[in-house]
Amino acid sequence: MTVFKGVLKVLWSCRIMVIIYTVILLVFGAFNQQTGGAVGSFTASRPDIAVVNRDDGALAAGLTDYLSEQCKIADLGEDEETLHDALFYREISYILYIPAGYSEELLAGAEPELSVRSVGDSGAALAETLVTRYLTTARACAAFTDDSSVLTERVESVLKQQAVVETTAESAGALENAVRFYNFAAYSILGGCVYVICMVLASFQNRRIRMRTAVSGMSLRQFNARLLLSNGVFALAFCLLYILLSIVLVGDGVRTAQGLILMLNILVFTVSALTLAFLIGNLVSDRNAIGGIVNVVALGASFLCGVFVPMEWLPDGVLKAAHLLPAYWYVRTNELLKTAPAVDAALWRAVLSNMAVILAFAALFSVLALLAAKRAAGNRRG
Amino acid sequence: MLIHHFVYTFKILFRNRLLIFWTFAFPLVLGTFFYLAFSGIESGEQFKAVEIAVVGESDWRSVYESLSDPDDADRLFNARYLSETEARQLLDEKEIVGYVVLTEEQPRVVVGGDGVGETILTAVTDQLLQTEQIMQYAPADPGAVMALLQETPVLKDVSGARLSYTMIEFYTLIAMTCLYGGMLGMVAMGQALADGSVQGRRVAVSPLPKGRAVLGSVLAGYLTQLIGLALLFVYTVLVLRVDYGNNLPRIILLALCGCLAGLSIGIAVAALVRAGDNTKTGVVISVTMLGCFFAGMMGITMKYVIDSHLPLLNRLNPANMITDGFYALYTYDTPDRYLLNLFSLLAFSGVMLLLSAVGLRRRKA
Repeated sequence: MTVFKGVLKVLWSCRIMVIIYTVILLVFGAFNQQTGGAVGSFTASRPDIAVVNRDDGALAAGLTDYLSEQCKIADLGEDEETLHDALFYREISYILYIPAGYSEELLAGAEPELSVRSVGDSGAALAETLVTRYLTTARACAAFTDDSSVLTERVESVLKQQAVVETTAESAGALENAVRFYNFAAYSILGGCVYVICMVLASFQNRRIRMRTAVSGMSLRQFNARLLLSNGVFALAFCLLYILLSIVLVGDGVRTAQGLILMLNILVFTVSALTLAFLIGNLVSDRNAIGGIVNVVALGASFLCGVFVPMEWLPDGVLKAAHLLPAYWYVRTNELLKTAPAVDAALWRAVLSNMAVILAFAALFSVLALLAAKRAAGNRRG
Repeated sequence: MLIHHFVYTFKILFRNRLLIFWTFAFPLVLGTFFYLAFSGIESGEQFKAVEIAVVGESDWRSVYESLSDPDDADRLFNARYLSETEARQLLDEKEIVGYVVLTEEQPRVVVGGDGVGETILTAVTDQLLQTEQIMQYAPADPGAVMALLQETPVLKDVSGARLSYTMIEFYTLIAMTCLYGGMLGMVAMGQALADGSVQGRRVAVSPLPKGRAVLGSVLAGYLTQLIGLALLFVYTVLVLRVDYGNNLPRIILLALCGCLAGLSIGIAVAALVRAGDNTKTGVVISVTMLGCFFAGMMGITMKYVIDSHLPLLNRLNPANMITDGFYALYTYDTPDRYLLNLFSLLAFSGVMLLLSAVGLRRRKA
């Protein structure tokens, strides 16, 4: 109990760090919720674009109206700097410039030019498909009528034709939110939990405290066992807090079989984080240096293992190197849940083998931590 | 005496391992992480042909075949021709985004979600029905209609090359390093002030006037900061291939002003905040990280959101002045925006130094 009380005292002094990492996760979770998609029926994607229409013809007006139905047109005016900033920061992915006299020239059978600016992503490809579709339709219809009101009516009628679309999507949106939340939680566990445990260990490595422990009735083995248990209880509480937060923030996404696997996965990951903290705590006793080391470890693992940037966007070389970090296997399990069609034996086999790798890392960190502790004790006696 | 104080402050700063880690090593490590994590993002966002399947036979099948031509680098689709059971299995396994069932009547689309790929598949399929409708307006001449529909409008891409938005991450990294230099300024000032350090107390009782002691410390802090920043520049340009634009004198001038702004924050904190070292360091780190957050370090979109909705906040944010200055150099040929950021940094530094001078004038030692 004495050790536990001591641990609690140090934990209390580190409460700000725990709160900061939890708040970061909370903000991320809340922001994440707003991006969740609708489920059940198919809703077409609407790319973000800008249209600079300098033509007063009916065709240009019709094209702008059509694009405003199919896309989200940002109201940015005609200032080039504003338009460029929006394109650069991916607020929009496509800008269409309609020059003066375009409608007249096109309907006269000429091949006038439209200028576009694009970031080249799939939103831009969709916007370009829509622009092309409208203009080819308009030109084809114009070939068979001279009456502009008939033309507009026909173009509208043609573009209303839509194929029957069925969707097989179920609750993928909610599960994706849950996976994003749990991926990000790895950073909070590494940054917050590991930092605090290292600080606790560093405090207990203080020379005066070590001397007091040495003359007490408690054996060193008992003392270490209690220290490990106390930190284990803290890590478990930290992990449970995040699981609770996920239930409140993500809701439906975690109240499924996949959600339970996400929870089990973070629990296993916390065990590896706990042992990593013991390793760092035994290697470094300078409290000032711990902040730097934990920051580098947490940010490094998060950037390299797909916590901040989706795994599919990471270069192959980075992903290969990431195999050497437990966070990679943790994120891999989470991502697997997103794509697996059902929770079946094949999925369980993959999930359990990933968890086994994480636990193997935990065992390795424990052995290294024990070796480091033994060497440090030997140095002190020597 | 001034040179003596300058040299010793410089040595003291370089021997402070923690300070050197945060101002020299940490930006290099963070830059490497940025590079590793973001190097695939922009190629990842580029449009790739949508994976689909085509089920059944009809006249429209040729449309999907031509849009999936493997020889065309800009093709819309990678189509596979399967039975509905096989297509459904691939859809469940997320190997394809959807499939189209072609019959003699209306085509039917089955998709697995609401993404852009799915929308492109439905848009193309809509177009088949729309073509049929257009045919009804000229039933006598279907060949002419098809010929007209084959002619695509002329779209000229005038995007330009400088759209690499991950550069902003590296610019915020430079901003962070400049502002972290505040810690150097703060510690250096501590060497000159009696309430700053043991050395400061010794300097205070020496014949060196306070103004000269402060000047020597500040110059030592500035030089250390510039060495750290030069290292980061060399690393980001030669190893990480960051593009700062082509105007080297302007890049250097902006970096010098950025460092000055960081230094002035450190001096102001040392001169105005009467608290322990930890609190002072906390103030410098908080100001830096909050500034970098608003300038886009933890999410590039944040900078755009603040620039659009709370422009005053970023006009007063030194981290954004540095980031935006580099962005202006990278993107625009005209110097207006760059100069605005440069003068804002100078004005910010001037105000900070003025406040520090007022704070220091009241002190006896």
